[in-house]
Amino acid sequence: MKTIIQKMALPLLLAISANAYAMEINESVQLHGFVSQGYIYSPDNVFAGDNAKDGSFDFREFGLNASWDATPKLRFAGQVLSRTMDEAADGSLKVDFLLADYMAYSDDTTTFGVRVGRIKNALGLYNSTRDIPSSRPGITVPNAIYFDSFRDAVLATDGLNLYGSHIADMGAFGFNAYVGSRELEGPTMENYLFGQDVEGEVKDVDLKMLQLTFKPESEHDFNFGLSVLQVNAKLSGAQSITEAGTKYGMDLMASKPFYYQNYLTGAELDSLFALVSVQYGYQDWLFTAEYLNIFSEVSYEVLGNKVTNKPVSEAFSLQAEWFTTPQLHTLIRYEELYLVNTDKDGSTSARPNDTYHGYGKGLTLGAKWLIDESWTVRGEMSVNEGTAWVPVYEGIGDVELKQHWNTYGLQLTYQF
Amino acid sequence: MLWLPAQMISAETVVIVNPQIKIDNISSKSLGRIYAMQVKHWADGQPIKVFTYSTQKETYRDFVISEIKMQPHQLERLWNRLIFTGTGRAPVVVGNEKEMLEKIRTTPGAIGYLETTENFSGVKSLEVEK
Repeated sequence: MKTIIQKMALPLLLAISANAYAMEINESVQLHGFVSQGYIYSPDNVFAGDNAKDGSFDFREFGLNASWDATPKLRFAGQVLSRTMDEAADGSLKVDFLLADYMAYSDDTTTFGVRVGRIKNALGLYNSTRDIPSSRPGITVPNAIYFDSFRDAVLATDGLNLYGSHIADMGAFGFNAYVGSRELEGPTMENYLFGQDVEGEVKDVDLKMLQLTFKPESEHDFNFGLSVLQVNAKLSGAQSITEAGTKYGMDLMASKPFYYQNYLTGAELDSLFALVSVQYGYQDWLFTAEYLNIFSEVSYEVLGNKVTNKPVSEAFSLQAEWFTTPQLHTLIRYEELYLVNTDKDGSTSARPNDTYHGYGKGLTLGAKWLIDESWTVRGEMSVNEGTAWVPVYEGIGDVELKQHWNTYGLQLTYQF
Repeated sequence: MLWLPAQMISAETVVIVNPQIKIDNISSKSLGRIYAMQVKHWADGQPIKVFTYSTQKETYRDFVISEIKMQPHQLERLWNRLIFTGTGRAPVVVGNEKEMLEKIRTTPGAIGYLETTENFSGVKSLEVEK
């Protein structure tokens, strides 16, 4: 079924959108979508699996959405999304968002409303559009800020979103508040926390978030943003203390090396994200800077004994986009991520096969060619040190990762 | 017959609204907020219906750069964000100026633009304060 959908997607999209930017069934319904095909060459390290080491086309995205203005105040919108990334994402169709939006109040300076359903989290500049090729600065979003481990956990909220904006003399203010939860599939969070999959699973994540934006009334084109997000997750279905104790005893007799991950009897993660975003536009240039702190409290229970760590992760990203001509855009970005900010060389965060897991530094150069309204081609290269943002997939723990690694990518996108 | 200020004839791009709209002029900033889909209602409470052309058209680029004082890519990124996060909608795209005139004339709360010095009727032109 999945492959049928994938095979049909492109011709279907092409057929319904041959002459239009958006497809309008009538004035109140709009349809939009996109398809992307990527090529990634990652000669030094695995990238979402083995294939990219020799260059791979196993990178595709597909999205289709509809929005319906039922009344001037009430709107419904939904999107399905499929991502294929070698072994890291299998292309299955997911409901990306599905929401009802009630605009309770709106005049020429003030808007206030509420959304209910699955809502994308406007964390920083790019979280809500990280899977949308036309809204990303490059083939990927800044890796240091939007690193893969937290992707699924913070992508969207199943719950409630209050939003509002106000235009005052000093500028335009905006806010978004979210409360709800998120259900995870796969062992991404287990891999992030323990470096491998473990007994039990991290399934439900509680989310609370506030985003504030300000665009000052000024000759200069500045945009400021602050996002604060609280993430809480528990390991459920972990083994009992008796089970873990029995296993420990047997492993001891068999003289197996001690890995705490094998004897976990519980775990809990409490993280507070604080993300500051600044954007400045000057003529054909757009400069973007983001700075992230994640204040975490990670509690492990090993054979019933509780150990609590309080790491602070730190990251920044500096990016310049030059809109060289209307058809050609170029990009340069430098970024750094430290999973534990008191461990900048990453030595205490090292893992058996992944010595440089604790940090990442990267320089990315990219170019985008807008062929016409619908078609875009991108090319990009990244030079990286440290492996903190190597995409996570099941089995990555068994692969030896190198400290210095480059990636080269091409991507063709069609959007309507 | 519509009265057009001299500067608008030389600037060529003319911002037009449905004749029921009560204002006669608009600032570049306000125009920008309307086209960014951030302001959704006129001062009298009527919903704004925004019309534009293909982003490939010179008329569109000229309008964004000279009247709104924005870069086209900024506006397009905002529209993409609204569309692909389900938080809003992009303006309605029309094929040509004839269609634009027709839409603005017949749609309550409509705003659009033309690049012409020719006479047009049934719509109201706005002076843009830059």
